[in-house]
Amino acid sequence: MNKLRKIFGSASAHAVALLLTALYLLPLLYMVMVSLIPEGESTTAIPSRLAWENYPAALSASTFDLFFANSVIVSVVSALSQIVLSCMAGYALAKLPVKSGNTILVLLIGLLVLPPEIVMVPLFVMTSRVPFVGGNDLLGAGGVGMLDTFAVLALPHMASALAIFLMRQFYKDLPDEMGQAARVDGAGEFRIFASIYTPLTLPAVAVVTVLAFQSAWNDFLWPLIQVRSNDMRTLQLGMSVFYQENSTQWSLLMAIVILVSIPVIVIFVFGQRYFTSGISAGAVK
Amino acid sequence: MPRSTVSDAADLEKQQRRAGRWLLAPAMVLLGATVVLPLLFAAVLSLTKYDLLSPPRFVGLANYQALFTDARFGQAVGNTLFFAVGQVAIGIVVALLVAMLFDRPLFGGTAMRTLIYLPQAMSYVTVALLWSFLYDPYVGPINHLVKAMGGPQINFLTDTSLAMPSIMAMSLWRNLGYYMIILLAGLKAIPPELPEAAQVDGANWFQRTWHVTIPQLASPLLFVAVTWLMGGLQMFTQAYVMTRGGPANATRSIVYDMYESAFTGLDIGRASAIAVLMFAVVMLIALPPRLIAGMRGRKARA
Repeated sequence: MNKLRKIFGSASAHAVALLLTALYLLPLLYMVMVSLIPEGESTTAIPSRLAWENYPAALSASTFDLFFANSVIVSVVSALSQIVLSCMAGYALAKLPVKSGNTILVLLIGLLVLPPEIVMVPLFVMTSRVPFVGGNDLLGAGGVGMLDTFAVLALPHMASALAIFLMRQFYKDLPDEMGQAARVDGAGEFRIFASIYTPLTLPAVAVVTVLAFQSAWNDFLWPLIQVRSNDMRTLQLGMSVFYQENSTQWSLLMAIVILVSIPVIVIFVFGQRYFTSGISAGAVK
Repeated sequence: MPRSTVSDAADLEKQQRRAGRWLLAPAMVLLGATVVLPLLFAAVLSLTKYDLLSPPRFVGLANYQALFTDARFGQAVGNTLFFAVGQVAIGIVVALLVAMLFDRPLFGGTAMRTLIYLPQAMSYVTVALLWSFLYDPYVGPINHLVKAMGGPQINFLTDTSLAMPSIMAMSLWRNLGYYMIILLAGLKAIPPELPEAAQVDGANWFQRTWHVTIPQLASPLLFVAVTWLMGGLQMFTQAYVMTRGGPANATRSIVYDMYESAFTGLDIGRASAIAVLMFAVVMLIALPPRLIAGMRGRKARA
């Protein structure tokens, strides 16, 4: 009787899981199917053949190759900057005597929950008012300042309180004895940071990389606000403009959506092993 | 020349302090310039009338007064609360049930889990485009299916009472996996003896869940609730891409109102006042649980 109940329970669990899978798999499969429908055919029927030419056609429907390069530049710069800065700051907060270190930590926790949207408008005003750049005069008036540049596009993603906090937790768990032993051998503080501790932080660096790349790659509001010219658009912005102008070209749109999603999904799957343990560690502790 | 250990220790301390300063400085300067300074600047700008063209003019609290009496802003606040609270309320129950489902041995469980987790790697723009297609009244598969079964055409994104729930369902679909994984990790951390003992004592599934599982999950549940709520309060991209805040302002959110005030209405003062109000609300919601968790953690370690 008990065994029968167990089998029934397992069977119904599998049924619910299957239903749930369908809820996720069907939209994604449908997206792939629509991206392969030949021009002129209905989007609600199985396509007569697989129109792979939709992919190059989608890329050349707008200057998506340019947008792709822009997104890669911004995301890679942001990720590299976050890795370097969060390792440095995280190490200092975890292993070195820092003046008012606790205050800094509390401040970082405060920034952790801050929605990035809040600072977008003032940041826009600040970056557009930099003197002597982009046609501005001494008082920062007259031109567009630093708007529409890669530097400003990457700016909000270059440092992150979350990344610093994650690295700090990771360094904290590494034993102090390693550094002391290296000090006895005559290693300087920067050497100890760079060649003793940091090589051991790969799992945490992987998490920071995924988070930084994803936040820069997927960002929409900041490029929407500060990009002026077509040539500086990122993929997310370029896609939304393309949708406004071609809202019925579903095959091309779905092809673009897939192409834009592949890099983040690849990076995400690559870093997932570290990632799941990383995010859950922060939540459960 | 032998040196005393005291001066050695003082020397080391000095070196370490200097190293700490240099390692910490770049990140702090950048965070200060891109977060703290803009935040203070927003507070200043919120007290001015500023259209980006002529110099800002001090107007006191006029922007705040205007917001509190503005019907459109009130609607944006209502829409955002409906979206954020609704998504969390439904989402946390679904996420918990799904996590409990994946907590038991399932054939192909890891693959299914990864699949559900996948959409949250995609951007809101891409997910919004995908769902704009799924929701499309003429060529979308959902309406195709409904019509094939003899149902009426459903205008998911152009019906004022359906637009926001439709965006909510889409956001829930995207975000579920992330929060489910966090709750799953929490479930795995519960010692199996606890529910087993309750089962021996004759507690049914509902009693075990309510009296054993949920109290054990208190801190991940709180984390999920607060984080998800925060995310919901920031809603912008979905409404911008799918509905442009319409129809008839039905999907206008707080951030959407802020964006439009600044860049369509050229009213930087009003936009900054909205940012400051959001900051205050976020701090009120998010900080208490974090501080409590931090204090508890410190006590536990001590």
